[in-house]
Amino acid sequence: MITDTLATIVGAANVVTDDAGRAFYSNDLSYTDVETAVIVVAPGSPEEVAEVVRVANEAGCPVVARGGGMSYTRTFVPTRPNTVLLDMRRLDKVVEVNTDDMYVIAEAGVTWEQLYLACAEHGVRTPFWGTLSGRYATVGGALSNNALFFGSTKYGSAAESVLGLEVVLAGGKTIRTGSWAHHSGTPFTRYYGPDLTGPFIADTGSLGIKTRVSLKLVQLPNASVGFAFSVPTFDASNELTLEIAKLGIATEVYGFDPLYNGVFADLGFSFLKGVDWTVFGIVDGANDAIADAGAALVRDLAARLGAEEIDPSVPMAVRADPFGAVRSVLMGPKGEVWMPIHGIFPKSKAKAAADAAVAYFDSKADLIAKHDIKLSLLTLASGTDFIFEPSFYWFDELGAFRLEKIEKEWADQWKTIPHVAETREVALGMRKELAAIFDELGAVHLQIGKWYEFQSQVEPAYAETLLALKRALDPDGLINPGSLGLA
Amino acid sequence: MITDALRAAIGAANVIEDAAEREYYSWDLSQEPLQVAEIVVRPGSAEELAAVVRIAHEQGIPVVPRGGGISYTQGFEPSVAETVLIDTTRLKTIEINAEDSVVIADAGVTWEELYLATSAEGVRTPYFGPLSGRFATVGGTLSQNSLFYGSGLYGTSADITTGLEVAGVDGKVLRTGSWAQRNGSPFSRYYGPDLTSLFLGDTGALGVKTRAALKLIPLPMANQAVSFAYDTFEQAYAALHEAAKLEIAAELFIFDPANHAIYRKLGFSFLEGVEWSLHFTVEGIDDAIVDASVDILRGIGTRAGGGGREIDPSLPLAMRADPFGGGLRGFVGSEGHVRLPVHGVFPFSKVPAAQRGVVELIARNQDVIDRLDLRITFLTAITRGYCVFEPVVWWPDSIGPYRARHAPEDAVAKFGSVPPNLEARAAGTGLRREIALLMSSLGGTHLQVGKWYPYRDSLEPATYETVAAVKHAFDPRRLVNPGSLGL
Amino acid sequence: MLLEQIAPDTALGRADSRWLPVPPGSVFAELQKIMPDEIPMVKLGLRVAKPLMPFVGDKPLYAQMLDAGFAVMGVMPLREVLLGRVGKLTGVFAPEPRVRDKRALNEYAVPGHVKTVLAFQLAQEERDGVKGTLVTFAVRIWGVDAKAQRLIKLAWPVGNAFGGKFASAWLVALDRRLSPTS
Repeated sequence: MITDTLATIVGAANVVTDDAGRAFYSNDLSYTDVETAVIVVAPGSPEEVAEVVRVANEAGCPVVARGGGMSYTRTFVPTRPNTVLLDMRRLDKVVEVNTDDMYVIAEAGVTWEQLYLACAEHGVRTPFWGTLSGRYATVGGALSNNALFFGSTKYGSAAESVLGLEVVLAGGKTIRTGSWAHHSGTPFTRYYGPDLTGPFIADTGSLGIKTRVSLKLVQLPNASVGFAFSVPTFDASNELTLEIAKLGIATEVYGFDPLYNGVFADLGFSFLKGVDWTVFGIVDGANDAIADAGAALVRDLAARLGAEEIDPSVPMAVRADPFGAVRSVLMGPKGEVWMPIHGIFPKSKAKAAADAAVAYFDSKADLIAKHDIKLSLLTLASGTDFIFEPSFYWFDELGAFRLEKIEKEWADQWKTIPHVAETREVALGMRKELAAIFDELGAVHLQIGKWYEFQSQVEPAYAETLLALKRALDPDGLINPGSLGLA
Repeated sequence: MITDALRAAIGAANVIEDAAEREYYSWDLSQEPLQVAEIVVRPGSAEELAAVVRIAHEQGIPVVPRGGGISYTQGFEPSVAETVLIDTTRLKTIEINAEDSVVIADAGVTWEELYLATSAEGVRTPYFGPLSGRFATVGGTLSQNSLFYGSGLYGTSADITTGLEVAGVDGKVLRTGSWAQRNGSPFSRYYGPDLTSLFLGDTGALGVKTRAALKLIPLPMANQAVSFAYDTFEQAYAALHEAAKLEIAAELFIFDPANHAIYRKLGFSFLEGVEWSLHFTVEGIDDAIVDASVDILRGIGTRAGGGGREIDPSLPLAMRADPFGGGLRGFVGSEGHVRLPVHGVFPFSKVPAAQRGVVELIARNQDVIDRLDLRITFLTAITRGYCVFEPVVWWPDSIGPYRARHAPEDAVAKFGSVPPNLEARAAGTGLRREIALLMSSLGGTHLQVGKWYPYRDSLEPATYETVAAVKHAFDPRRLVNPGSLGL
Repeated sequence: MLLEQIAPDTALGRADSRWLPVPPGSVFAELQKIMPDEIPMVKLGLRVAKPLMPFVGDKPLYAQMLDAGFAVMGVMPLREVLLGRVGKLTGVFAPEPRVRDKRALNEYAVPGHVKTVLAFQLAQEERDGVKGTLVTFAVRIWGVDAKAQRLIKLAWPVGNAFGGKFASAWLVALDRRLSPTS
């Protein structure tokens, strides 16, 4: 019924109605059941997005926005069969790189890699400048989920780089936030009166559909120095990571576990053979003097904490090809599925979180061995907070979405790996249990979506306030129903 | 009736009905009083504050929160006499969590108190206060948004906030961010939709803040200042702009010739013959990093804007040595003038046009200015990513109850009995309003919007409607600071 | 604190402290206003031996320290102001600071000269329920070379005593200004 109208808005070539296509777009990486969208449309401009939403909502259809699809928590999966799914990837213009006023405007479907390259041409970058999946992950999706990695130790999560948003609300009304909403304004600050930018960040698409974003810019550093340390235990790794973060001078600080170090050793970083726990990172500076001085402080600190300095080529390699490692964030080295779960903790809870995870895995040792499930423990400092990401690897059917993202020679090899129902069930079950353990410890999460417990984890006053806000912005509940546990 | 309930909740001594006292509390610094609140209350804790809000709401009586009184925009002035004005300055609890890099401060804590408490533990908030920080309170400042100390690196008060506690209309207390997690603490702002941001810059329109969680950093042990003299504003600003984009200075600001005249009288003789001065304060954890940053700034200062002349840096150093004492001087001028700032928040590129526009506006009004002994000085200051351009209008007038109570004794002794100068007041206020409109027309936004800056008129209707919808969701009966933001 | 970081172990020095019943906020402001005639030994010196005195009567003492060649080496807001000066041990009339920042002081290497750093340090301290401030005047002096260091050691007994009296008197003047009059 509305299919024709939607096809007129976005162009017939930009509509998917066949069963396989709709199923493809309706699924994410979480291996969970979904409703299949009734139609998938790919709008080409913010105006088309607004029109699509207006038409869909008028017909009582919920809408859901999908970016790069790199979701493990059902963020964009439909919960109702009459959902109109918007594939946002055609909104791929970097609209303006303003180096006088230090902001960049990008459409929501721009990927982090694309954004980085566009800004780098002008000698600038966004403070948070992308995820490891940034070849595919879009800025709109990353802001709906919130995101971490490049730039995070110094500048926090993606949220902290936002200066303003353009959002399509339920019913198709478009609003801009911050100074962007001023008649004669440009998006140079989010703070003008009550900051409306905030609610649309980390909402996992519950409150509106972002069409354009304005992000802060900083100068590209003229000097970058890598550092790398080997430590004897997981506790030592976490302590070192968080103490370096407290200096406030490293741009990224992250920790690898024995599994990850083994993978990198096999890739050719042979100095990692036999090395268990490592802490890696980068200090950037406006010039060599500043970067060198910062790196020296990091090394002094590490020495005081008893860490051993090792070859820094891993963090430098990560920086050299920041978005090229997609395969290793989607899969294990032999084609295993990679499935993360994470918790964000204050420093004081880092050890408890680490101990709890290790104890949990110990308690499941038999099951893990029986199903040949491997585990990795990745850590990152965001600001001074502890980001802990245990991940599960197991052999399973990878599916078209994963396979299309990796090099053909690996895809061909791994596409025949079968689905083993029991293994998947065990792995997914452990993921849920570990999430509950983290929540008991007061963890918070990115990309809450329809997977992390949320309504049961927040105080009633917060839940009521969020609901009141949702009702104010989306009275009929037609924006991504079910997200954050909001009907 | 309500007074009985209030007395029972917070003690009779803390419920004020004396007319002179109520007038003192109901005037801000703007010389534009509205109504005098019928009741003023001074709760002693976050719990008592929440109780007061609930009691007033039960009776359908508006509440207005008031912090240190440093408002120039009628922020807490009651729109209606039947108001319970809540003085938050008895709320002084500070909880420092240096391990997790967060401090929880009650709304009534002043920035000076916060700095003293945290610095005694070797930490401080990254932005650590406005010039008025001896009086300005955390709650009031977060409602207004403000900047200065540390802002060049760390932004505004909004940028350092990780969570808020807000007293709801029903007596329920809302906590935001990770603070809302049932086992959580306020270490991370981002956990689901960022509701914290709605209350930042709301000028007290959306709820009454009881406590705030703010980031902490280690006290930077290395610090230097460097200053330059220029002949014109354009030259000084060119250097300021270039330096600001590097984000290596903690404070960056320009003083004008009129400010120099004042400082010369205070003993800063090196300002003789200096037209416009540009000042940088640099701080960091290590001398080498600070030295290298100073070198860069020295290079910019001597080259940009046609090249400046380096001068004695004792002005910014003196400000740092006594960061909050200077605010006292700002209350009453040496000849009895009251001093009223009016500002525009601009992207870097728009400041020169704003400055020229204001200079022309002043020239057009020179007759009135001369006749009524008005004066205008300028302060231009950077916060991370953009600029605040702040003309200050001075005129001779009665000093009002706030200045009478808080200005230095000698000034009050000399000028305390000066009668109202309504002609100068009308001219000065009119000039302020004209400047505000001019800056808004040039794309300038504002801090402390209050009941004064042209907020509604400046915004795209869709955005203002959304702000109004949020207000309606949170405060359907319009009982929280009615009139603030035009709501 | 900044003083302890900058001065080497070989430096000679002293510290004089006084507790004031006020919070730190107003201390530096008042300190910078103290006039010579509030310090009895300076006032007396100006009366009887003006040509020998390094100070004049009509300018605050702090400003005169800066005139005498001291420059601000560092400021920790509401905690410490560090001044530094280089030159000959006997050269009290150096009008221009030869070094303008910490880096320059550290790099200064004129043979026979001395480096002097003076810190005004504040620490919050509660006594008998009163939230007060412990104000400390601390000085360190060391030579650029062995010869200068020997000169300092020779002159130290006199300089130390004089310096102590001066610092104490300055602290008393501060107390008089800041303590509530009884």
